[in-house]
Amino acid sequence: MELLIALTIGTLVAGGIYRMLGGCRVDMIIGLILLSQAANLIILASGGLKHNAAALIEDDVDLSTLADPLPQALVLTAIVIGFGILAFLLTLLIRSPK
Amino acid sequence: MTPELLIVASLLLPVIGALLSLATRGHSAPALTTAILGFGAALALVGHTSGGAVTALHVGNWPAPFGVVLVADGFTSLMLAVCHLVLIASMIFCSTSLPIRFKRRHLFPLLSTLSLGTNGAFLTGDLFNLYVWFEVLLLSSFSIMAILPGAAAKAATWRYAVINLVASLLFLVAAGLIYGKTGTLNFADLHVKFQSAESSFLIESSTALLFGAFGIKAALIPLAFWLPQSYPQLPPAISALFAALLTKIGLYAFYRIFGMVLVVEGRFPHQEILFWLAIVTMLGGVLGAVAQSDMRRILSFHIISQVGYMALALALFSPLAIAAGVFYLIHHIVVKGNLLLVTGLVESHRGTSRLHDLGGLVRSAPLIAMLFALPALSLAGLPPLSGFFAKFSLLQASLGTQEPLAAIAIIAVGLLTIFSMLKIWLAAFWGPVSSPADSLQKSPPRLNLITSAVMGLVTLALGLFAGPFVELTQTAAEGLVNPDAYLEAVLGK
Repeated sequence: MELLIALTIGTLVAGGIYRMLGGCRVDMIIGLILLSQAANLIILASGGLKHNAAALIEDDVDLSTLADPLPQALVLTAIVIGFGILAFLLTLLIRSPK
Repeated sequence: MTPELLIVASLLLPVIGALLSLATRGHSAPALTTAILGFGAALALVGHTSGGAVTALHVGNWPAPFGVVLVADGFTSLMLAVCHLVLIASMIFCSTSLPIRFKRRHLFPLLSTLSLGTNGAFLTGDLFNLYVWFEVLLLSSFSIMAILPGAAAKAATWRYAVINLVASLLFLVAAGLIYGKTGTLNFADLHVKFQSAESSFLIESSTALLFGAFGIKAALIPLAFWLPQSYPQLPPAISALFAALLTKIGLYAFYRIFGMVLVVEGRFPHQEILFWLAIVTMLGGVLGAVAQSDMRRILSFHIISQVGYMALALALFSPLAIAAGVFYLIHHIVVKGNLLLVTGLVESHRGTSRLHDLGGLVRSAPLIAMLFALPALSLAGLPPLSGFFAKFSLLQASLGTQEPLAAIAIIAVGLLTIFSMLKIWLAAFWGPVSSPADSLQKSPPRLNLITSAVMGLVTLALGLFAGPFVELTQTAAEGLVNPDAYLEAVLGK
């Protein structure tokens, strides 16, 4: 699982940078999207990866079986911010002269 | 009011200002009123923290490492106060001198949200929260730039947006990695955890990402070339605000994170690199300024050069150097903001800021010439203005830490700064009055002249009454170098 996530992040970063160096504005937006997905995955992985674990804390549960809820909250925030920025960039792209 | 309420006020006032301004179809009065109230709150916070006291507000009463904390210490409150000063001046200039198409509806709400982002970034005590506030102020600044008409301005917006978004992504990844390593994002808790962190590899690499992110935002030289491409496109009323707030937020983050959170045994990661980059930035920025021939562009390159000075103060990292750096930051925000505002006065007088088309301003507008001379001499570092004390204490700190190279760079770049200021002075203010523009000469709005004069007087006051200000900056620096009060206020031990 870790290896898969790490390879995915690497591919996303490589693809993102490649697209950003393309020079055209649509390329840059696609590159930024790929890079921000990679950043989101890094945050998600930073909390430790657990298969099928809930992030809820109850009284009589062994803490080591639970997933860390904080990275999930952070990723959610980062996704929302990334979405807002994507909307802004697309508007800028449409409004700016060729 | 208690300091906790003042912290809340600093965040609520810009929101109220933005909403009211939006509701009144972009009227400037609500935004300006809330900015003035915010200035008052910031001054009250300076009063509260002047003795080294630190106030932490635990949002929602969650205990420290788990919840979001807002912290006001000496450094934060000084930055809040001085940024509000420039914000007010810039808003006055925007409301009187910008053409009507800028002011339609969105400019003043956006200026308020920009101030919200900066206030939040100054006050937060949490790494991820800092990222969120950065996004708030970035989106506001992107939107302000997007109002500008013309293809060149759109291209500048594009460059500015993309490079800053890359910086934000670096920051986000760094925050994730640091959380993965330490299990916390709270500044105070991170500082404690870093003291006993055993593996340095992950910390070195994730702090390198932070270095890149803040370096782009602060405009350190290998990462600074977006700045002279984008700032000169802005009208001076707005670029004064951008120059004063945006790059300085990057420097603030450097001081807060590298100068306090990451410090272990009197050193922080990548200190050597910061030292060399600071010197390169000082030299490169001022050489770029010397080569330009437009007031807007010369002043934009000066921003870079001055950022080098402040980064150098951090890299020297002695209590005296940090105090000099904090003093320099405050001096620089006031002076650079004012210089750009005076450029705005020149533009509303002559309709251009290109040195080639200017000339003889001393005769045609002696008042503007005087308003320019005051901050220009201060930036160059002549006594008794604030720039002299900023450069002098930095020089003293560099000699105190046995860094002769830094001292040489400070003096050499200071001379080059004077040279490039002279270039503006000779071309724009002396010389024959250029004839074709004569018929177009207008006198700028009186309110703008007064605003700029007040900013000039602040520079003078910072120099003439340097004693109390130096004490305030020393308290602020002490709070960074020795953050016991900060840790106690946040972690409550």
